[in-house]
Amino acid sequence: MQGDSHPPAAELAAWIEPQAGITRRERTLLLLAGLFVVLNRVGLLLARQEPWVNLWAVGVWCACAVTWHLVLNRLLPKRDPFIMPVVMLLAGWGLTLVARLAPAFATRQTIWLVIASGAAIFMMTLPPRLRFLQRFRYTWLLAGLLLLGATLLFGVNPSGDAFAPRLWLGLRGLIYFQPSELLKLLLIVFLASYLAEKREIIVEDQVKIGPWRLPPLSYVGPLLLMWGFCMILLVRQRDLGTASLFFLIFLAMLYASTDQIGYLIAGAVLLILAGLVGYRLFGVVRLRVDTWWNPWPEASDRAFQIVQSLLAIAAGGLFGEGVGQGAPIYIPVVHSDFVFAAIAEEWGLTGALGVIGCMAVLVSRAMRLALHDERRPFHALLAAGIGIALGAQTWMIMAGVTKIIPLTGVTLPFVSYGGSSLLSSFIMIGLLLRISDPESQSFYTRRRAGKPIIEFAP
Amino acid sequence: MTDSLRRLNRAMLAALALVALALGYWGLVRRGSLEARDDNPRRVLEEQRIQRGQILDRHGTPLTTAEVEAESRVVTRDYPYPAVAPVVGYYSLQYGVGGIEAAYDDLLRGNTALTPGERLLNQWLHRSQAGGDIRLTIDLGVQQAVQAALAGHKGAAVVLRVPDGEVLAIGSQPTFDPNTLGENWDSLAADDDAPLLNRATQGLYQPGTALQSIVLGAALNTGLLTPSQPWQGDLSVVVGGGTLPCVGATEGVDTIAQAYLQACPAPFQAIGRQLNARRLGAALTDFGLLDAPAFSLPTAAPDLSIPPEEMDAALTAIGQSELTVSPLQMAMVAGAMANQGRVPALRLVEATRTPGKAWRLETASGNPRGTISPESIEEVDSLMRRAVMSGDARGAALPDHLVYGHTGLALAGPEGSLNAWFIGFVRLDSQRAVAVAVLIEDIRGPQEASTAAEIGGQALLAALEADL
Repeated sequence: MQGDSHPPAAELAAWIEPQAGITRRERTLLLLAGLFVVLNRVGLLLARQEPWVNLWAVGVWCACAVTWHLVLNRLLPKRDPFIMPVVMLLAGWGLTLVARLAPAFATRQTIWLVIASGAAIFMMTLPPRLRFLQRFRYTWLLAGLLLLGATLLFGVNPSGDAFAPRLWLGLRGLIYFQPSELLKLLLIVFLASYLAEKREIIVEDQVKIGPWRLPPLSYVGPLLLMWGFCMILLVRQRDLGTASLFFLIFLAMLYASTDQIGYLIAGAVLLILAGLVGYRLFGVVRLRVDTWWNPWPEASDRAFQIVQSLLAIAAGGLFGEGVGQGAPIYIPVVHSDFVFAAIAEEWGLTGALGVIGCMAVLVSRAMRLALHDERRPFHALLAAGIGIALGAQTWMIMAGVTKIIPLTGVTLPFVSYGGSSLLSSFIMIGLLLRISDPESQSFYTRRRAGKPIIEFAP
Repeated sequence: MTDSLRRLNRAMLAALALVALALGYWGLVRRGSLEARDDNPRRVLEEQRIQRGQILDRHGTPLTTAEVEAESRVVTRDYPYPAVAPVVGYYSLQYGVGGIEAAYDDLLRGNTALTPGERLLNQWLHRSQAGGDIRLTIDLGVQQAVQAALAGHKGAAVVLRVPDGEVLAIGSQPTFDPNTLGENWDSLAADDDAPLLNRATQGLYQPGTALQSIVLGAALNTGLLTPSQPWQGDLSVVVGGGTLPCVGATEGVDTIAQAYLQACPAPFQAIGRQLNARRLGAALTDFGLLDAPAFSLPTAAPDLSIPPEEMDAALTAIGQSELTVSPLQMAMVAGAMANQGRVPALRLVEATRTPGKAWRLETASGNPRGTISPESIEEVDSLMRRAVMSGDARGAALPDHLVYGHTGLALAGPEGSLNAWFIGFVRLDSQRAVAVAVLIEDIRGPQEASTAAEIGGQALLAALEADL
């Protein structure tokens, strides 16, 4: 690996003269995002006749955004300026939606935003090569698996429903965490690290059996093994949405690193087979597939949720009913799984296209980073993995809500209610930003070198 | 790696574009059909948010109240005085509307008040639709008195004022509580006593000897007889399987006047024959008994198989032919007796107003109509006065007031069960009077006919005590 050592002089210059263009661009975008978030929150406040004190959450949002922006200016002056404002826009929109759809959870979600922003900011301080992530890949993944395994023993469901999947670890009912969200992140790190190292061997040492060219088992084996553990745990936990997401991430990263389309085809076949088996074995899969294929005859019972979702989208039309003015509350669990339908109802097609656009920007910025970082395969694959994870998860829930595919119970990143999801998504964004500016030294390196940590530009 | 990353990026963007297309399909192409679905809860919510107008009594007392839940803006409509249920009716999301709530539904919902522009603006700003108000001619006090007097009976009563035809009360028992309609609907709908039926306006009953005032008036008008004309012969009549008796005592009934005072049917059969079917039919038509009255609430009319000119005059004259009447029609007859023979045009809705506008007076339903000469009416009236003093209608007598009245019996149904009628009036001043008609179903015998007269007296007393 090369390319991440820089002459000190150039680095110093980069530090002293913050990249004015990037800062300005990010600030402008952030101001627009802030305008949108504040206007919508005030609009909601007026529409629902809430007390003004409820605006404190917007204040917290602004504080998070400004702090993050200032830290980025100092630590990563050459980062991608689009990522952070888009993420904050979505997160702010999400806060408004939680206040709209599940006001009881608004405070909790705001606290999670602070935690998530803190975690993302912490990512800024990491060394540029992220070598510790790459080196201890098995440790990370095992830690993630152990946490997920712990849900088998100590798992709870915040709703208290005895039959609901117990995907969370709880701390005396104060805070709940969903280890599968962290595992998703760690799986991406593991795959990026492993594939960065082994991808060439995987491609070159293919075993030829007749017309088939199979990858060498000795190298693909550990991969499949680790991935298999994840899947078993997830399926055991009946978290089939996350399991499907992991499968998509795994396939896409394998394809990204090897350029072998065969993996995708094989994966698609496997996915269909898994779907058929799942349809036979799991009531929940049958339910989701049946209600997706033809929800109308069962609109009042089994397919209630998806039909209500479509009715909400129809109610929104082109410009929406206006914040706080629609009736998305009729969709069960609208605040997490169906938040996108609520957006379509209250902000209309326009607002929903805005969310799609934001996610498209994030995904293509991540993929662009990956393309530009080809000389650092771990970083490239990490960026690609994050882009794939965000894109796939977004698409799965959006396509489920709009009846393109059967429903999968995953969250809409940054927007849905849910602390673990917000936290892991923010950490991913933090890593993306860190990757986007490989030239800036880390906070710790600078401190060791005796350079000023914080200085104010004239 | 470059190619695969590019392809993955493109695939993900295409997948997101597919979501956008699906959104356009559901949100634009399929919008109309989805919004129109019966199970779309937004339709119910929109309905629940309509701020229906108020219904007021003649003094402005609200007969309906609305409670708006702040967050959902859902309006709950309540009825503080269940006694007005026969007039006001009910509004229920599940079971629809009845009474004035049904008759003036468009106004109360506000459907008529808006121009298309205003409607669009309201939709844009998510304002709740607000409806217009209605002020009735009903007097809450009289209405409550009538419903209380009727309680425990199956029957109906209508109180109206002449000459303006303003309806002061419409009683119908058994009744229902519109506040608990949802919980009780099934039992109300299945009840054999039909509590949801407005007996006063839509119940059709044999008029029986309650028709005597018209028959006597018509006979006097044509000069066929005088009240003092003697009568020798039967007093009661056997009709079908049952006997239609006199209301009062049969001793000393030896004139037409006496037969009227005790409501004995047999002499009136003779008068009917003398009058003949044509003239009798004309009189009944003049008094408005053959058509459903023009009214703000739905009214009923008998579905006659032959025109009145061809009916058996003897049976028709004692109200036991095919002709059936509603208590509302009999109240109009009572009104004509109090109004020199002029049948008043009815008014139930005094005024309406659309939101933000001034009250606008409503015109009466139909036109007033002359019947027989004031002189003939005056002769009938003097007999009605005597009936209250010493005849069949003594139950209606009030101290300090000159009450006019007449009671009648009718054979109802094949088992020979009897219905009791009372029509009567009392003068408010030289111009105005209050008239009443009462019907009680299934009385146990002729002696119980006085119940109808007593209820009529109570209704008139309530009207006299009201501020009219």
